[in-house]
Amino acid sequence: MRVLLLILLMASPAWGQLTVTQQAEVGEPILATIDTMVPEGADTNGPGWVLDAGTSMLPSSKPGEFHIWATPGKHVIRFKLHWLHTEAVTFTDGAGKEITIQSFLGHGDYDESAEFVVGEAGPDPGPDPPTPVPGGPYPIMMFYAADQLDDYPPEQRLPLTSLTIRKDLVSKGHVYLEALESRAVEEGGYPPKYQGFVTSISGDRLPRIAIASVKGGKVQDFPLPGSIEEVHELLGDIK
Amino acid sequence: MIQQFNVDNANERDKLYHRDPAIRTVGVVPRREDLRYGSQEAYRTGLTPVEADLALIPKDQYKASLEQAYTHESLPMHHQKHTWAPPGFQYNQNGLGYCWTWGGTGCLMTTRAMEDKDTVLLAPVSMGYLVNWANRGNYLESYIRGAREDGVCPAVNGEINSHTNSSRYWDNHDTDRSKYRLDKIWDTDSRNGDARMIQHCLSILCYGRSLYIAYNWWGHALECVGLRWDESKPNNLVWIIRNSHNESDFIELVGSKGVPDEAYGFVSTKQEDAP
Repeated sequence: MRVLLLILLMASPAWGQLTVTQQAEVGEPILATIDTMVPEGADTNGPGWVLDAGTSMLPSSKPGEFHIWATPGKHVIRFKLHWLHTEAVTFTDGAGKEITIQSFLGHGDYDESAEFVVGEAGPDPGPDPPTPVPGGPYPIMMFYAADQLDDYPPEQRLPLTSLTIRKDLVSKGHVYLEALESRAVEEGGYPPKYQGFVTSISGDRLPRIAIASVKGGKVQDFPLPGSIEEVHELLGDIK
Repeated sequence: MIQQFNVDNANERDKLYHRDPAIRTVGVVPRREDLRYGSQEAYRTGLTPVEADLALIPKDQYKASLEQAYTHESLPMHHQKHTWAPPGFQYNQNGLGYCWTWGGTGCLMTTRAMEDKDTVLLAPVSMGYLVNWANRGNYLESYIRGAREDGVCPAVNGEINSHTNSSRYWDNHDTDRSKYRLDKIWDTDSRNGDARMIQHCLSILCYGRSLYIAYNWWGHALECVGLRWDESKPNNLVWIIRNSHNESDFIELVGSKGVPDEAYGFVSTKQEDAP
């Protein structure tokens, strides 16, 4: 998904105010347009388009216009980007030395979101309810992307930061190994003993929770549930 | 007992200046002019503008966000006290002008705790190579660069407050330095008013990340481990700080001067080749 977002970013040079068709039938493409004012030559940083589960997007032939397909229900799309525009300026100082500096020309931020509905409007989809995994307690690792923390609902974000929740998991016999950020995953910044957990989430969309039986065997990974209650349900803590 | 200082009061600031009379040098060099928030040079140092990654917490949600953080113990102060700095722990730069590394290394250990990594006591003095082992202050961005590129050595025999600023000593204890490195950092904007800086700092703390901060009026670097909502104080905030002058608990700063002049959110760390 990150690669796709990057390609979309590079393909469409104009960004900005976001509009989207608010209601569509199942299978009908939804039109999204975005209009921005990022100067040519500016560096950009950020995820660009952020799509929720069950949504896919392709650019149309017109700049700034995209077609979206999504599963039935309510969806949110978001556009998030920071741009920085600098220009190299070379001058000669009083001692005759040539000095080059990066002249700051401007910067800007876009954080736009829009909702749309496919089929009949219904409750927010959220992560699928977890199916309890038998055989616990478990060593647990969680994986997340720091630049998407604000996209996770507050209840989903808590297991990544809350000491209370970690103590609760430990009290039920689980071993909370680590909350690993995506850059550390991509750049190998973790001990070799965690390789099985990292391999299990390879190619999966974050945030994830990975668990393993204390008796060994394959690591299993799942989308991080939407609440701590659902995390306990997944781990089989709720009988 | 936690001491609170109203830093808008000159007498209270004076108490902080003379907190450790053994320290003979100012510990912090103010941030370089070319290292502006969002500048290309800042990006090269690894400083991501916090707004590039996060939707900042709106002002009308400050109180509720802090309440939730206390309910769920998700502030740096909670994780720190649960791991490397339990109640009664005394953090002490021991007369050296090395607040820039005591503050940064404290923040690094707290970030590891928030990631639930194993508790390893790190030695702030091992970063003395950044100032050629002299007893002098440094830029905070210099510490950040060193901690990202080289790492921090584990404390020898658990002596976290060691003040052995000697290259010969640390050359013999450098083997595991690269295992304990800082990775992602969020930068904040201190040039566009206190309101903006408060929003950046509060958002970083409430998203569960520790703050490496400095005050130019004090010439001092520290770790901000939390905020407390108090409507009797300026900005309705009490700044909760891990200082390095041998206190056995946090200190609290109140007043408009409690807003840091520099602040960096330590987001994540790397640990490679560790068992």
